[in-house]
Amino acid sequence: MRRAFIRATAALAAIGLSARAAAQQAPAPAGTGAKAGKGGRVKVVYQLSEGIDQAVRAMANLRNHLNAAPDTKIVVVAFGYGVDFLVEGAKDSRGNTFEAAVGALGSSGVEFRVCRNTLTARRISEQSLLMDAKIVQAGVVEIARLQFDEGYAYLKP
Amino acid sequence: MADPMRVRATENGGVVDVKILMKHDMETGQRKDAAGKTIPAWHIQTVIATYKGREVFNAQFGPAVSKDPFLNFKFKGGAKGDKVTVTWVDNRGDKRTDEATIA
Repeated sequence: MRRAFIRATAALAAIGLSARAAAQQAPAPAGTGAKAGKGGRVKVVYQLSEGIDQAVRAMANLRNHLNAAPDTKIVVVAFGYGVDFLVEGAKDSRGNTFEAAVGALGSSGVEFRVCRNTLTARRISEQSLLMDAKIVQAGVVEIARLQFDEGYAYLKP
Repeated sequence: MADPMRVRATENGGVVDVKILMKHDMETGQRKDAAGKTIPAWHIQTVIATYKGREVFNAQFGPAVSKDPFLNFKFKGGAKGDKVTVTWVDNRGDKRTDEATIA
């Protein structure tokens, strides 16, 4: 009786284990496929949401990042006060515009994605943004999607 | 095949201001790679902008134009809501056409 019980629990445990193993295995191929695994191209998303000073730091970070690791895929997601530097004519505290820096980074493959919700809320017209900026519906959703679905690393300078 | 251009057109007082950012490596044919071999020339040769089928801008680009060229021009007589179409052709015969609605 007791042995039968033990065997039964062992069998149950085994089922539990294999079920869990199956559950773990099932999403694994999709996960590794989306992330392109280790050794693939490193992908990084930069969050810019704190205004001009953060953007100045980020420009330096981005340049250094690409110097050290040129084949990194970098996406900058800007929302909140982080969109300010992508508005035409925006200047840092020294009076320099961002156009040249953004253009150069754009040519090296950095993508700048701007949150439409922010533009609507802050009444910034799409026409007033720099040419390199691309619009996405929601900045936070874009960051979450890049990290969760596409395996991007997250950085906030 | 080629990366899309960013085209933006705004109308103000009957004058349409068109801004174009093309994505192109614009190799001059003068540069050499790490192994010392010449990188063959590969650059945009013509850029044409049309409005309602009429040509409003025509440019001939050579190797002296920078990578990812930016172009800004104005023309008279455009109206909001209409489209401006921009096409470039490079020296390999590659083409790219994009359009923007005048705002």
